[in-house]
Amino acid sequence: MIELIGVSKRFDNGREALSNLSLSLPRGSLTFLTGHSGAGKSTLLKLLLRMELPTRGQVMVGGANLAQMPRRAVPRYRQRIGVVFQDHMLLSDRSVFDNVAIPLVIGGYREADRARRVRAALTRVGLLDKEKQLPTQLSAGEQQRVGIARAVVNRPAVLLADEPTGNLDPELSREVMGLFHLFQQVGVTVLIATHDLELVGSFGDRVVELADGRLKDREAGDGPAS
Amino acid sequence: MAPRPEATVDARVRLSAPATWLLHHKLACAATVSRLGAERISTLLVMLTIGIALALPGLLFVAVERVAEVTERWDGTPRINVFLSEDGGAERAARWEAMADVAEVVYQSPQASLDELLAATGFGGAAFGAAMDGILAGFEGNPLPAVAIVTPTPAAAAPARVRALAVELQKEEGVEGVQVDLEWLQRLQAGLALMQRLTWGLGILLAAAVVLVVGSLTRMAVAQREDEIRVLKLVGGSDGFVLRPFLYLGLIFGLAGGFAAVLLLALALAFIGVPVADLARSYGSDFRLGEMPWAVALVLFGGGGLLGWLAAMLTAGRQISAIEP
Repeated sequence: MIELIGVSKRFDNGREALSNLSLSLPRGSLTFLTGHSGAGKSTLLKLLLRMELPTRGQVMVGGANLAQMPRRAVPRYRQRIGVVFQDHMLLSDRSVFDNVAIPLVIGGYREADRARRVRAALTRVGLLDKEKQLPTQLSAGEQQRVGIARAVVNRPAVLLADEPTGNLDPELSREVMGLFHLFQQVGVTVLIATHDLELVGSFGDRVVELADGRLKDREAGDGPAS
Repeated sequence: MAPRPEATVDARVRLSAPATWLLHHKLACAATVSRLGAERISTLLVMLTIGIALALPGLLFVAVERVAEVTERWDGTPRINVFLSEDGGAERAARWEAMADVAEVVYQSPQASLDELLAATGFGGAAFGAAMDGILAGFEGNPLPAVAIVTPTPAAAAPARVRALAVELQKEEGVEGVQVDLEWLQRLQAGLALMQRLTWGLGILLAAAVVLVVGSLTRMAVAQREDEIRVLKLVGGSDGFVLRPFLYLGLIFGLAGGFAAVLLLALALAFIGVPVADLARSYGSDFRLGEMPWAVALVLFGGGGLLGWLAAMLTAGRQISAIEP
């Protein structure tokens, strides 16, 4: 589903964030992306979201070559990708319901279907009773779950998460990771960037570690390596 | 990407491209309206600012057009008043109709001139009749001369030809004086042409001011919501989708401002209409500013909207495409 072939990314200031990175994430896999800050995690996510273009190499997501994707095709591509951010990036002047509905509005879903899907997504993250509240009225963990609901509401094939547990206590973190595994089980390809090695180790999923923009691949524990 | 099973039900749950486009417009418009509704005072101030900027050239335009309309009824054809010295002028004047440049000659006897004077000055009534008789008694008989009013042919209506004709008539026997009522009309028309240009110039300047005002307001609105724009772009919103609420912001500011301009103009016309009519009457004219012409109202309203939309498009459009998540 996600395929990186010999990807390098050099920024204008000369710093090489990724060097000759190759990586393959099959459909329906869940992968943790770890490494120190500055190791290239967020650069990799930015490449996958087509926020940045690789200096060299190919970035393929779902068969689409991001390096050759014209600018006007980017929105349609992003509609097929779910993203969860560390600071959840909710719109503070819209209700929880409206925040989760944004991808459906963009995608042109019918109103009845929007409502049904938003409520389904909110039910899955356990926040159906908060749909009318504003994000600021929620706790950090709840806000993060709203962000997850928004990321999965239009059933994307790929789910990317950037430090999704960065602001959460261990218990909430486990809960959030549980949600990601739920989506993996229904066939979503999940990639989670995190520095929380302790949490990562306890799940037994594939862990990809980056150091200085290079791969230090290792299969964690004895879990199902995909 | 291989088609997901979901793709088959897409048609039932997702709208067609035009319907999606309409939905986006509806939602963008509603969002902008509710955002403006939350800031009623500042919206009202913007509306008034734009309204004043548009009403001013509107008022000038209406006034100038109305004056032009009235002067056009004089159709610009000059007349030559030829004052005749003695009796027998009627027959002599009638012969002038044979002249190449003359279309018509109307003879007016001294008595007719006097009657006209009395009627025009309001001294004809019983109350002033006696006083006028007293004044006229100071003269020997009727002091007014006989007049022949000569109208040139349309082909000879050019000022130079008219003046040449006047010189020729001056040479005729029994002619005491010639008066061409051409210059004041020329001056008036030149003055009107100047006012029309000034109106257009002012209109263009103030339209530019409206574009600048709406443009900077949209720019501020975009800057304020840069985070939101990033989020929308990251979850797949196109530049057009993100831009739409701001276009509506410009459009609504422009339309509301145009509406305010129409109201202000109607108010101004009603407010100065009465004194203008009084002033005109004191000059013996039935000139009226009149009511708001519908075409002007439509142009102010539509033009306001267009300017607002344009301003938002020019500023927010570039700004938004430059915001990369």
